[in-house]
Amino acid sequence: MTVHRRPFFLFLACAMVWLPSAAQAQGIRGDVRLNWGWMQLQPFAQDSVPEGDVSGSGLQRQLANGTVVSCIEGDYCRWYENNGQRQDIMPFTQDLRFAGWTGVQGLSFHGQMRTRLGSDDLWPRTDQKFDLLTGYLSYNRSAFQIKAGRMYRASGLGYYNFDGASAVWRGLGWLWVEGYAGWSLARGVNAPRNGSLYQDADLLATDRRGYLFGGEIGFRGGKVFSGSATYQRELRTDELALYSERAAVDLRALVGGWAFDGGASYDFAYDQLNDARVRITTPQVLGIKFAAQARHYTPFFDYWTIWSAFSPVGFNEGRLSGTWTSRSLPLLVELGGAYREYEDTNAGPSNTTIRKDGYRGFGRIYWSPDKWYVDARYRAEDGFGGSRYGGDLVLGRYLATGSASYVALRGTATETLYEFREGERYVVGGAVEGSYDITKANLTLDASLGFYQIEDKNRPLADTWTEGRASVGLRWRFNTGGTR
Amino acid sequence: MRRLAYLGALVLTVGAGALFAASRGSFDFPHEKHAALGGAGCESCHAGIYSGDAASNVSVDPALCSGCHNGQAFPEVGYTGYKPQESGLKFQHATHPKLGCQSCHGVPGGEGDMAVQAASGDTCLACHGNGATDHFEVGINPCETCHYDPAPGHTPDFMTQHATAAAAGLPNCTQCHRETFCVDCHDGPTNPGTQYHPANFVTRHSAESWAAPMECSECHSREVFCRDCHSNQGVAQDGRQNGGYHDGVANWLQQHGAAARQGMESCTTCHQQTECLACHSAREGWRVNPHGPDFDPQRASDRSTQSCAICHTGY
Repeated sequence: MTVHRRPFFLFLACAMVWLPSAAQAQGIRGDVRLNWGWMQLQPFAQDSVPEGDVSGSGLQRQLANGTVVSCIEGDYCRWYENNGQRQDIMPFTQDLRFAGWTGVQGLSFHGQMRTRLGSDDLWPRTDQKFDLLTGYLSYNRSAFQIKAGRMYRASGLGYYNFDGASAVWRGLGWLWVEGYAGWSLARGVNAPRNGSLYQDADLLATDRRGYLFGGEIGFRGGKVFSGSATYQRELRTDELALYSERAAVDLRALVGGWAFDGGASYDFAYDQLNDARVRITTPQVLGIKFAAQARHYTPFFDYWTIWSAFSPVGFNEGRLSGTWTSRSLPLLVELGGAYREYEDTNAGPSNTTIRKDGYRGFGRIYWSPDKWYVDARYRAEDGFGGSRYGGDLVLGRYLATGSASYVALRGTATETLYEFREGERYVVGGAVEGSYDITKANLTLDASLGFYQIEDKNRPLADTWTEGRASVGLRWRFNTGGTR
Repeated sequence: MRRLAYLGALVLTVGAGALFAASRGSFDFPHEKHAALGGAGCESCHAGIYSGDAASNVSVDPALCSGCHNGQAFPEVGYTGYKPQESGLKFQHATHPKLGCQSCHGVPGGEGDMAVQAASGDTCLACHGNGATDHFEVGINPCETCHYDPAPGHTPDFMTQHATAAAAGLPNCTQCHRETFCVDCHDGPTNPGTQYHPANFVTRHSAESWAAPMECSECHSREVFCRDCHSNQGVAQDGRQNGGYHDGVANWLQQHGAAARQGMESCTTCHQQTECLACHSAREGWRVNPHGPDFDPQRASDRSTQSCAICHTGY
């Protein structure tokens, strides 16, 4: 179980300090979510034969049936194969989210925690049995907001969790300034990067937590312009090195139905723009709306890894999409595509066959006459590394007009082309899925059950098999009268 | 980068022109300066309000203005008619005849029929839905109940293309969305009711992870999440002796450098750092230099000597 003492005690202390006021709370609002899933996988299995039984010499050899194996002299020759065995996975998560308002005006407490039960080792993060995602106190007034505890920040740099405090001042209305500091958490994990999750995953995982410092300044010019600039650095707690030093600038303008977005994030250590975008969305005229985007993307890697020193290159991408919405039918049609080109890698021989571009095409038709709806989507993703072509067709019916309860049939067909040894995969299947408000606005049941035929080609011992999948989710929302 | 700069400049130019064009032609009538006209009733100018004639409910006939603004009694005005902008709301005046104009458009504390302002969303919520709080509960009142186009710029792909918009103006987002709305996806459980990825994404995520239409690592740790599953599935490499994944590509060893630089993120979802260091360390092995031509060692070491020390002595 991964319970980190410092944030846990911090959260507990905060809760105890404010328990008296919480008891007189104006209200608590939140939800409980229980999610159970079932899926089947057919993992590769490792096999081996003594090295002396395989003819030839060197690291890479072939068995009599053509299987390529990796051999160590005097040891074994090893390879992966599909032995046809399926494994069932049943992850079960429980989430509790709440926001409570104390008797003190502007003071509230917030939390989200998750437990993972019934999982299988095949599914990621199953050893993280308890997860405190957020747990903080907030004092929110019109001119400022102070938060302390475990929280997250969403900015142009992405989504960062940390244990600490943040303060926002927005006294002028059109300007806000924020500062934050604390102990950083690994992204997507909600745990320190020197914790057992990383230690188990990488032999060179760092042995120190990090301090996170950052600041943001933002402005809003009426309903027309808004923007923000963020600077953030993450420092080892022994202060010997940085884990990251990044900045981001984001701007947005809305005029007459036109939307203009532009932003970029920057990595100081490797002097790189990680994600830069310019995007324009037109107003909706005769139900038609277009969006055009230019993007540069180079991945960011924390400085405790060696990956950025290997000089990864990015790609430049242009993207165009258009939608037509008919209010009378009602109908939504969406079409779009993107093309990208990778920067020069300056690696490998000049006759390398590695592809340097890629494209994406997508389309959607959504038609919803009264309680019925049809949702057809297609997506082609073709490029370096892997390609996929396929889509989904959903026929559904809402149980009542304006209701969120529905039942639907889904059909799906996908072809995936893997680079390297894995070959092709064809997935054809269907599912029944639905959602039902058991009690109005309070208790909702979501469920799905599907079966997919998976046919592999040009893979080790490829075969055809049927995968089962199911999920059940129960959401209970509670509200004892809290206010925003 | 140069090509991107040209493309960005083109988009900026087109955008600036469009913004300029869109900003022209707006007209805000100073109702308070015409208080004396209030007694005649709103419909005396906004003739189409109660009949539902959209062409004349807001767009006042210019002839009405020129009756007074004729250059003699009052200066002439250049008003030639107002073209209503699409509000995105499914609101029709004709369906709200009993409320009276002041109920929605009245200025608090103002006197007379001409003390008016644009109606706010809060006014609607006083009657519609289950109150302002529930308005923000996703699923109870779907946006489409009242809005044709919930927000400018919210295209169908906005769910995957909203990063800049959200970063630039989070306060704008929170006018409609609660904080938990973000968390539903950004730290959400595998809930069939809040599906972010398409159904059965596990069997078809490969192409997306290579193409990076959005950053997978924003939510999924490469080392913990991706590598865990890939390793358990037998896709990842546990060590050099277990190789074979890339053997469908001829001369992989010669080509892997270009592939790695183009798809470094994908590499890290299977490979540990130590596997690459078997050849790419200055301390041992083949000592193959992995740095590209633009690599600035001083800049990197100023910020993290520790990562330099993984491969190099003297740090």
